[in-house]
Amino acid sequence: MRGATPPYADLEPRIWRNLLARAAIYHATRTRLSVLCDMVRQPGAVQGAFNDLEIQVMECAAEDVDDETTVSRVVAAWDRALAEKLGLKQLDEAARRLLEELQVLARCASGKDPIHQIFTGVTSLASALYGSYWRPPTLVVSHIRSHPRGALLPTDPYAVSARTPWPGQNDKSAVELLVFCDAFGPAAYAAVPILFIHECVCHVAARQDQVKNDSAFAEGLLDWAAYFFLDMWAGRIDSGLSGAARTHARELRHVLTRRTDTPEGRARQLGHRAAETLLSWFEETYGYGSHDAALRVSILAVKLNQVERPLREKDHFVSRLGAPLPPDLEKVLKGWSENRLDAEALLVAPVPA
Amino acid sequence: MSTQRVLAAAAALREFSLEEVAVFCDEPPSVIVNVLENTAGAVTRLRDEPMGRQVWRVQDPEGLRRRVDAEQPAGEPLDPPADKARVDVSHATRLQYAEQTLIECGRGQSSDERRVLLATAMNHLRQVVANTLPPGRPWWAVELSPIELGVELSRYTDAATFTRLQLDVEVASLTEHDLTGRPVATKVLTDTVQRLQPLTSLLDKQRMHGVVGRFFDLVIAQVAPNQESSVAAPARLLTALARRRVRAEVEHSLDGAMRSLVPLLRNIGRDDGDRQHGLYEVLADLPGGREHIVVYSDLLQLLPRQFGWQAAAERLPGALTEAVTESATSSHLKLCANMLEQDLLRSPYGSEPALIGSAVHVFHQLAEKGAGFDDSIRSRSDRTCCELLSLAKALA
Repeated sequence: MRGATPPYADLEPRIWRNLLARAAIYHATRTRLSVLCDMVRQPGAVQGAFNDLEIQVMECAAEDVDDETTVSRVVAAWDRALAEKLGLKQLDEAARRLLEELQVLARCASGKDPIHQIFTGVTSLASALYGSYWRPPTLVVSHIRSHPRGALLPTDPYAVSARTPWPGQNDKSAVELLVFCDAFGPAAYAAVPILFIHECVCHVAARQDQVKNDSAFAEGLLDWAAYFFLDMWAGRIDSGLSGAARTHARELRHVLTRRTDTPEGRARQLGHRAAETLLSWFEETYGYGSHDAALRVSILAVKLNQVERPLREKDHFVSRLGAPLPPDLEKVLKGWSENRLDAEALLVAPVPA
Repeated sequence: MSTQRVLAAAAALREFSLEEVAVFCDEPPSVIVNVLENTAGAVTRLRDEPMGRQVWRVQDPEGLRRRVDAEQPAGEPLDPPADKARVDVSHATRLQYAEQTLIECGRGQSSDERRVLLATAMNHLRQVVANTLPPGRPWWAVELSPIELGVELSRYTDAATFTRLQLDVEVASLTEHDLTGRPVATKVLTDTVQRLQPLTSLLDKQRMHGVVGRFFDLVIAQVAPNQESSVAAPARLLTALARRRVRAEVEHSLDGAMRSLVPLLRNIGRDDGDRQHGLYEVLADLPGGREHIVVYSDLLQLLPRQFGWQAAAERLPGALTEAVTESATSSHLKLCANMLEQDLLRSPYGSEPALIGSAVHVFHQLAEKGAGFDDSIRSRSDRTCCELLSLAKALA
């Protein structure tokens, strides 16, 4: 049966089949994804099995057939490769157990697009979070020819990135997932939820005058809130993937916040630090536990994101979140916490004459 | 656990729809409604909106808080945070962010925008200073005074951080003056430059070109002419070239640019009054028919080789040179200067790029005339004109 047109206009059919086959296998084996990611890093049978999968994906994706056929061929070919590995006499127990589990799980893989499923789950929750401020996004998936950060795979296996083109005054938006398909491994798949959550929490519904990749508010404070929501939503988006999604969200955060050699990396670090200062303030001022305090920081970040004010004013607010907080800011924060003031009041700050 | 989560979300949101609170817990709507209805009035249903949307409001925040705490099993956190690792922000990271913001301030569209950007940068600088000095003042009480901070900071930080911070504080201070339109006294500017001069090699090593460039832009802006009409065109040409050449020098020799800055300030700083520099002047007659002159520097490139001259000093870096010349040389330079001066005075276009463009036009004419004496004049003139045109495009 001839190949269908890819669901994403920017993808060539062969690239789409490559991506779908990988994603379908990772989706089917998602409950074992964390273990797979750990063991793939070490030389051995599991790494060998993963390499076999990549070879089979490349082979099957080259044939112009429909999605379901592509996936079933990859499953069948990998099944044979796994059977061969399982026949090895010197296979250690942990590797044998994992390969057996993967073989069983992979047989359930189908040609349904799991990436879009994750996207639908995330947007449904983010839409409820933002209410009338939400701009329903469409998903665009594009192929990039190299690692988004130019990194080496073992240290940064997240060969995927995302962005939200500036919607301007439009009431609709788009989220673009940028995939380096040839290196799209299980860790990158597990990071897809946090990438979508970041775009939806930080950018899709943002009311601001410009796009700024080095905004300590948009890429820092809001990004911190995105991780809070990831922890909360991971089970609802996909309970089978939730463990791996949380683990790899944390790993990706370490990769990104380590990068203080870029304006984006610095903004992220500063914004996260500001969020933690605010978290501590809620804990100390009101005696909240860490979850409650984090809830309030995240809600505040979302409310500020809805205020139609220049992004530089929101960045200015973040710059004031240094410990100890200035007394006038504390007063306004208390007003907001006690529902006497809107979030916008936090943006009206005295500036030097 | 689910009751507590629903109540905690309600307490944080205060007024919310069912869909909003559902975002923060895993329970179906019927369970959420049940929890909300059993708060003894701490939360009440406010209204039902179209399409089945229910809106609720917290009426008794303290009562609700007590319920949340009561639902919490003793000693157990609601949700242990997945990753409690604190983000430590180094001084370098915060300083670089402040610098990005200061540079952006220079590109700002409106004064409001620039004011907010400056305030943001200064907040970050204050936090670095507060975390560098011994505990005492909270960061928001730190005064970013370049002179006082310089004395204190040098005791508590390494040379690289000190250099960076010193420059950033100077740039912030100059930006503040620029924003408010308050001129900085020439003496203050020269003192600022002299404070930073010993740090030049460290500034160069740390590759702070963006913020260093911004420093030069701000200093040079302080000596830009206030009213073009009050200064004659030839003098404006000279000051425009002097400023632009010092600025251009930053890109290939920070040390040279720093050294040129103080003479520039002393010659054309506002406090010394408008210096109506001419393009040519005889300073003194010397023995043997020679003359000590001061002349617009680029005119020296149009001299035929047989006209001898010796550079004596740089009167105005990039614009005026003192030289000792033979009589014929001096006469030739005077003719060229007069021709250029007449053209500049006649020109209806007074902007600095237009003045530089006029000079280029006259240079071409002079080069054609001079080529009869020395055919290398054309190529020298072309090189000079090329440089002048690139200076014309640069920011003053």
